[in-house]
Amino acid sequence: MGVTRTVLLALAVSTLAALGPSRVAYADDSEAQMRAHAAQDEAERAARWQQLQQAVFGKRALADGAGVIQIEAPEHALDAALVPITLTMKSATPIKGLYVVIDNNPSPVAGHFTFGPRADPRTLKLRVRVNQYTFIHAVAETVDGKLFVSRQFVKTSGGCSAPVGADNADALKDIGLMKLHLLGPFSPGKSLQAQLMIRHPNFNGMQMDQITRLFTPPRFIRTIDATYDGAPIFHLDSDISLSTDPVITFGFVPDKKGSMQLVVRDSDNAAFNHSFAVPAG
Amino acid sequence: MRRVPSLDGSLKGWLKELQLLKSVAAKRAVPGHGPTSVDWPLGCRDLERYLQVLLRETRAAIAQGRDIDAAVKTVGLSERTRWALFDDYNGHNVIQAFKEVEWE
Amino acid sequence: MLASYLPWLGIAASAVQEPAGYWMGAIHGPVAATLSGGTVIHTKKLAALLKMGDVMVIDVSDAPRRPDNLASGAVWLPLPHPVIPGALWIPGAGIGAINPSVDKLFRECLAQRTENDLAHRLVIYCHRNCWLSWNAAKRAISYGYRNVFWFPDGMEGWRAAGLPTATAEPLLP
Repeated sequence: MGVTRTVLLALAVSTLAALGPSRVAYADDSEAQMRAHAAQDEAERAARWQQLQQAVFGKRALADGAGVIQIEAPEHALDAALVPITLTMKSATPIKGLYVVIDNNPSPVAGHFTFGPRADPRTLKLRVRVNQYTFIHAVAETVDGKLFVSRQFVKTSGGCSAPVGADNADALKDIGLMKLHLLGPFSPGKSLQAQLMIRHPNFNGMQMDQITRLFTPPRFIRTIDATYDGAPIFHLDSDISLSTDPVITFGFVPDKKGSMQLVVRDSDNAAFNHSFAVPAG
Repeated sequence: MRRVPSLDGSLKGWLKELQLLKSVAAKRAVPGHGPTSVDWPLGCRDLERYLQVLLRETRAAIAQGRDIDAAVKTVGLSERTRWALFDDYNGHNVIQAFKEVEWE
Repeated sequence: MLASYLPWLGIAASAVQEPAGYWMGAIHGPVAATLSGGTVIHTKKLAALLKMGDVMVIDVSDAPRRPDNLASGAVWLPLPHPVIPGALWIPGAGIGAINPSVDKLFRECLAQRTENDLAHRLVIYCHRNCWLSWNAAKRAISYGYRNVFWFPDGMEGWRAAGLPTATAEPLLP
C-alpha cells in the first residue's frame, strides 16, 4: 500500500504538472481546421446531402425552410458528443413531422419525430453527437405532405468515438430512469413546454471503454413515445446519433389535468415506462 | 499563468480525487519524480477552486431553470482572468459539469 | 488501482513522451514526437518518398462499425474513406490491445505485400493527433520490419497539401 500511494502521488504530480501546455482536448481549433480541410469541400458536401435527401425522401421536393423551420446549433460545438440543437417551427398548415439529419454522421438521421394530436411542435430541443464538421439539416413535414428544410453548419469532431464515461457498469445502473420538468404553469388547453430526461448510455459500438480497452457493444434508444392520457404527443425514431442520457424539450397541450406516459424502447428490446402526473403532484 | 484544464469525466470524481491527493500529500514527501519546479500543492488549490466554482455555478444555473446552452455562456466566468486558454475550454468543462449535475 | 485513477482524472501523463509499450490511452490527443525503431516523416518528404515507388502505405484509421439492431430501413451511410492513393486500409491495426484476428491480418498483409522483405519500406498513418498509426508502426517494427515510416500528420496533413486521394474499403478479418 505504501508503494502504491507513493507511485500514485508521483504520477499525480506529473499529471498535474502536465495540465500545462501538453494537455489538449480535441476541441483544439487549429487541429479542427485541419480536419475541416481534410473532410470535404463544398461540392462534396452538396453531393453528400443529395445522396441523403434521396435516401430519406426519395424524389420528394424539399422547399426552402425560411419562415417555417429554423435550426440553432453552436457553430463551434464544445463537446462533439453533446451538441444541443433547438428547432423552431412556424406554419399555418400544421406540422406533422420533423427530421434531423446530421450529414456526415455514419447514421445520419439523428431523429424523426412524428407529432400527434396533443403535440405543440413549435419548439423542440435535443442533444446529438456530431462526428465531424457537417451540415445539420432540419426538415419539417406539414400535414399536406410538403417538406421544408433549413440547415446549420457545425464544427466539431469525434462525437461518435468519445467515450461515454469512466465506467460502463455505472452508465447502465440507472438505465431507463426518467425525469420530467414542466417549464411553465399548467392551464387546461394551454400549450406547455416539458423537458424529458432519460438515463441511457446510447452506446454506438464505436466507443472504447477506458478501463477494459474494448469497444463497448452498441445499446441505443430506438423509439420514444410520449402520450397524454393515451393521446399521442410524439413518436421519435432514433439511433446512435442521439447523445448519451437524452434530454428532449418539447411542447404539448394538456386538455385537462392528467398524466403523461413515456415509453422508451432500445436496441436490446428493453422497454422503459414512466408516467408523470400533470401538473406534478 | 497556468492553462485551464480540460475536463473529461466526472467533475465530482475529479474533486474527490483532489481531496485524496491532498490528504496523501500531507502524509508523504514527494519523491524525486516529475519536474523539479512542481508547484504542488498550489496547482492543486487553483484547480480545486476552479472545479468548485464550476460545480456551484452549474447547480445555480440549473436551479434557475437555465438550459445547457445558456449555462455554457455564464458559468465559471469569475475564473476567466486566472487561466490561459479559458475561452477555449471552459465551455466544454461546463457541459461536462452540467450533464452530471442535472441528474442530482 | 492506479489505472482506475487516470480515467477519473481524465488526463494522460506526459502526453508527448513515447510510452514504453503501446499507447493504451485515449486515441485522440497530442501524440509522441518520436518512434523508437522507426522514422517520423512529414508530408513533403512522404510525397517524395512515394514517387520513388516500392513503398507500402497503410492507413489504420478507425472504420465506423454498423451497430447491430438498427431499425430496418435505418439509413447507414458512413462517409467514403479517403486514403493516400495505393494505401491499404486496415482499421484496428493501431489499437493498443489489438484484436488477435486483426493482428494476424495485419501481419499477413504486410508479409504478402512485401514478399517477406523486412527491409521493405512501410508508411503508416491515420489522422493528425491520433495514436493509432503510432501503435501500428510500432507493431510493424515488432514484426521485424526495419524501414518503418510513421506519418503523424495523417490524412489531414496530406489533404492540406492539396495532394490527391483515393477511396478504399476497409480490410477486415
